[in-house]
Amino acid sequence: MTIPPRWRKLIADFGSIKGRLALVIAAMAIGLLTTIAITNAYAILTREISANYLGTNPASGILDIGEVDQTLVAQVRGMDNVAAAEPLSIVETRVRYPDGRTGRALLFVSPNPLDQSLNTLRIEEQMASPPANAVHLERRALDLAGIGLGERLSIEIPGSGFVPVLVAGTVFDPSLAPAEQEQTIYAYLSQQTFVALGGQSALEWIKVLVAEDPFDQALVDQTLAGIAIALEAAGHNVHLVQAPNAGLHPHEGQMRGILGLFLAFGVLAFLLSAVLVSITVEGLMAQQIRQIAIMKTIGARTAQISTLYITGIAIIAATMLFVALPIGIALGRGLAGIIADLLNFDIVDASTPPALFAAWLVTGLLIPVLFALRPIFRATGTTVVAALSDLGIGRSSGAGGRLNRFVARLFGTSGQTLLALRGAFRRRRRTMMILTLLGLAGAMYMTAGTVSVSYQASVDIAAAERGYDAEFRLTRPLDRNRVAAIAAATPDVIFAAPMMRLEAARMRGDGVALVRTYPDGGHGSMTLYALPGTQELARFQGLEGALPVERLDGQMVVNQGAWALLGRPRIGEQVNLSLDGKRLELPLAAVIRQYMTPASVFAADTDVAAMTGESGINALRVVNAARSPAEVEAVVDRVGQQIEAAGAGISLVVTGNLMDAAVSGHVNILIVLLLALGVLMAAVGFLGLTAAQGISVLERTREFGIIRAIGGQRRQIVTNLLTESLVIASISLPAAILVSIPLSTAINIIVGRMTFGMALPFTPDVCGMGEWAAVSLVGALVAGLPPAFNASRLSVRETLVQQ
Amino acid sequence: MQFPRNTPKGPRLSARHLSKAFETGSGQFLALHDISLDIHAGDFLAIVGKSGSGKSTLVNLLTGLDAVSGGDIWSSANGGTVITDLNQESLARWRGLEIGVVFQFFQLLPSLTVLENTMLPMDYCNAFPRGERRERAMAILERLGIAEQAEKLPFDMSGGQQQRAAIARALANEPGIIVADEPTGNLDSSTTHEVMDLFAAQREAGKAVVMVTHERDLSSYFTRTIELTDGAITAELGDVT
Ligand SMILES: Nc1ncnc2c1ncn2[C@@H]1O[C@H](COP(=O)(O)OP(=O)(O)OP(=O)(O)O)[C@@H](O)[C@H]1O
Ligand SMILES: [Mg+2]
Repeated sequence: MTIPPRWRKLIADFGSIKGRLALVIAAMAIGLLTTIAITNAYAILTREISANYLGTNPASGILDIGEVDQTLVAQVRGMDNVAAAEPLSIVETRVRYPDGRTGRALLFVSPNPLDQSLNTLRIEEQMASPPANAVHLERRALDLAGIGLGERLSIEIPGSGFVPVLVAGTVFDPSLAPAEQEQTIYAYLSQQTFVALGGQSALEWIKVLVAEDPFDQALVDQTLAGIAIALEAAGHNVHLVQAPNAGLHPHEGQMRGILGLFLAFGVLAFLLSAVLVSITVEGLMAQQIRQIAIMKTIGARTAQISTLYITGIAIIAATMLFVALPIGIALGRGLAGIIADLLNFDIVDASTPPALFAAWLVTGLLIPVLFALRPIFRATGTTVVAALSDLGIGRSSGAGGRLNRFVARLFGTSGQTLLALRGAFRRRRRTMMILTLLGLAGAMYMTAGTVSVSYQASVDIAAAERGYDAEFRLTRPLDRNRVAAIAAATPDVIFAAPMMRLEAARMRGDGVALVRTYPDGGHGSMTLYALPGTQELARFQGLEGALPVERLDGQMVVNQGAWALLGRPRIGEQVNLSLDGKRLELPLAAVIRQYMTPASVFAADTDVAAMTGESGINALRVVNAARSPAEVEAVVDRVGQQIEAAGAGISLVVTGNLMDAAVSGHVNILIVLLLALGVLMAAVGFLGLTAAQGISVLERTREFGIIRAIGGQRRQIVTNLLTESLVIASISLPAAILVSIPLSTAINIIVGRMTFGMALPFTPDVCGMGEWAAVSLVGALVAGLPPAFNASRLSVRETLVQQ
Repeated sequence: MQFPRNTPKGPRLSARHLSKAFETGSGQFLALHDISLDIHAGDFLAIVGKSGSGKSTLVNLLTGLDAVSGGDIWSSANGGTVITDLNQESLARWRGLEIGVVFQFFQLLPSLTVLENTMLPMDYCNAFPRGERRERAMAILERLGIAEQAEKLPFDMSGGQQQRAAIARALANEPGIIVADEPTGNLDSSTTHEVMDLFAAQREAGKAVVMVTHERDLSSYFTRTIELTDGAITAELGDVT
């Protein structure tokens, strides 16, 4: 069976540009597989994060009541619209790691943690016959603790000091971030075990699942507030209502945001690579215009010729899809795995939804064809007479034009650079596309750098502004003078700031303090600091209003994180806070900027004491002469012993080192992904540049032949073409810098808002810009070499015989 | 417009009052005006005239490659068709089946062999059963004496061989009329005579041949000659209807 000549011709046409075609297919495949990978990861992750979280039957909310017994639980269970209720306690305390360091721990105490109906846990590993009075750790906490199953971990039980506790197993709790990221040990134990270890017997909280539409946030809030009001009326004291986002994993919003961002870049890369198809087809068609005219002369219809080329492009698109599909799917799964690991959930089902699959097939085939239509129709639509009388291949923009005059003024009217510039811009649309590609790639690379540097800058600013080396949290308030004396008596402590620290929540109109936090207390909690003066605040930059000069009396100051949680009240507006159920109402005086700091509210200690009865000191920030982490630990130990001697326990010590470690995890992965996308875009860009230069050589075959015939040397042709690539790359550089500024500003805002409620400080990554400059110039040379080499190899006869 | 009736003795192609104007920078330029012409089977018609007199323009109109500005062209194909009324797609099909075009610069497709170039018109017009096309094309090449070159690419052949291949392609669909614009312009005199003999053989086989030429010494081949001057027919030799 012989192939009809017209198809033979198509094969021959594509064969004549197979090198360039391969580059374009590669570029498109990269763009497409990026899109496929990200959409696949998006589909898998959003499905699985929901499945994981909802699979635990998460409570709609948790009420902090102070003391909960079986009758109270039964009473709540019987209330309107309540599907289930269970008691628990969440105890924030400390662990002592095997190496002697101390760290934060959260103990989840409930009657039967391994068999509860809300927020169920899945046992991952367990000793053959777990002994009594043992705990389970969240699966990611075991590594952080640095121990194995069956070993003991020193956990501080409030009132009983550090107790070695046997770890009998691990459980999976998908609602918690990985232990190492939060630098927190999560432990699950029964009420009975807790008491046996020396803890208090009463549980303090009630988890509630609402019956009617647990995904309707307004209804959930209303039901929870109703329960709180009913309990208050019955004489209970409801300190706080935690109502996490209904049905949403704590990290789902962030995850969608970041993946959405990447998706936008992936699609952009794909569209730009589709533009490459348009460029390549345009080059091919320009070369074919005369032959198309001949075919029409001998009876070919326009539709026949168009069909021929469209089919060809469709076959190429199918090839590309064939390459991109499996790789993209695998990459997407890999990416999903990494992110699931980062957020501590399992991917049970890694399959791609069929609809998405169909969407890839359609876009992968359709987009390249759509982008090829214009050049194909333009070429096949040219009349025979016009095509046959057109001497050159394609029309160049010639020597006229504003751009050329501008260039001439810049560089003079002679010389290699000008020739190269003219060459680079003879096909303006094509050059613009390549510039866009390279510019975007560079912008992406620089954005990754800038976000990274900005993030580091915010860590540095935070460290510089923090102004203390360690913060002690006391289990019980002490007298101010007593604390001051302790600090003064400890050698190496050169400054100490005693303060009162309280959990705060915005108080709703109905008097209920309802916050959007999750059981671990993260995502949406707020802390109030009762301060004697404004000294602690003076080093922070003001964002709104003016910081009171000496004392805060009668006013309130918030940082940007708390301001956002409070709904950005105006300066002077009354803010209602609930402190353990007690109301604090003060007008807002100022908003300050605190990087890397959770939502915080500041008020005068006298106001807090007058309105809530809370006085004394339960937190102490110290600055010590010692600066190495080990020395800080030593000072921390000494101060700790003094505090305990004074009759208060220590629930937590926060050191600067610890804070820095806890926040960096999320951001690093984002930066790596941005860089990866930048590299992919760069690959598309340089492949595009090679293809475009190849086409341009093709179009100028005659020109080069004539240059050679009148004595031009190969070296000159090569230099000329390489200079062209370099010119394009150099022009893309300022473009990339310009685009990277708004882009990194936007990502700084997203990342900053996600972590601490404000944009990261824009800090340009000068090093990264230099790196990109080097990469793009070298890339341009490498991209320009093959076509330049090809051009120089053409024999004079060959070039002139072609029409 | 009065066109001849479709009789066996009637013309194959008939042009009436053709004119062609081009838009130029300095306004309209009238390249042809009021050209009327009939072409019969067995005609070997030469179109002569100075450079720029409108010869190529006339040929482009007669083959439907360019649109007329005024006048009409009628073809005896399909029981009589006014081709100036056809759309581009029908025109292409008509041309493929009824006209064989030969150019001065051969215009073979460089990526296809001579055989494939010859089969191409059959492919586009779906002229003969698929299985017969190769054999037919080979037979034409045989007749033109270039059967040995069938598998060669055009650039690997001499000018004379390329022009033979181009004629073979023009004959592929057995058209009634062959139109050639200076087909010997690029050939030496002995090759020119070989090519002219091929055209003459086609005329004797009952086809009509229309040829633009500059070369006066070929007049012995032609049955008719028209001379163009500034876009109008100024002299006619032979039996013009
Ligand atoms: N596309 C066009 N636009 C404007 N003028 C044109 C165009 N094509 C042809 N002409 C003009 O029409 C006139 C006739 O041109 P044509 O090509 O038919 O001449 P010709 O007789 O074939 O000449 P030659 O012997 O040199 O081939 C010329 O003056 C030419 O400049
Ligand atoms: Mg001419």
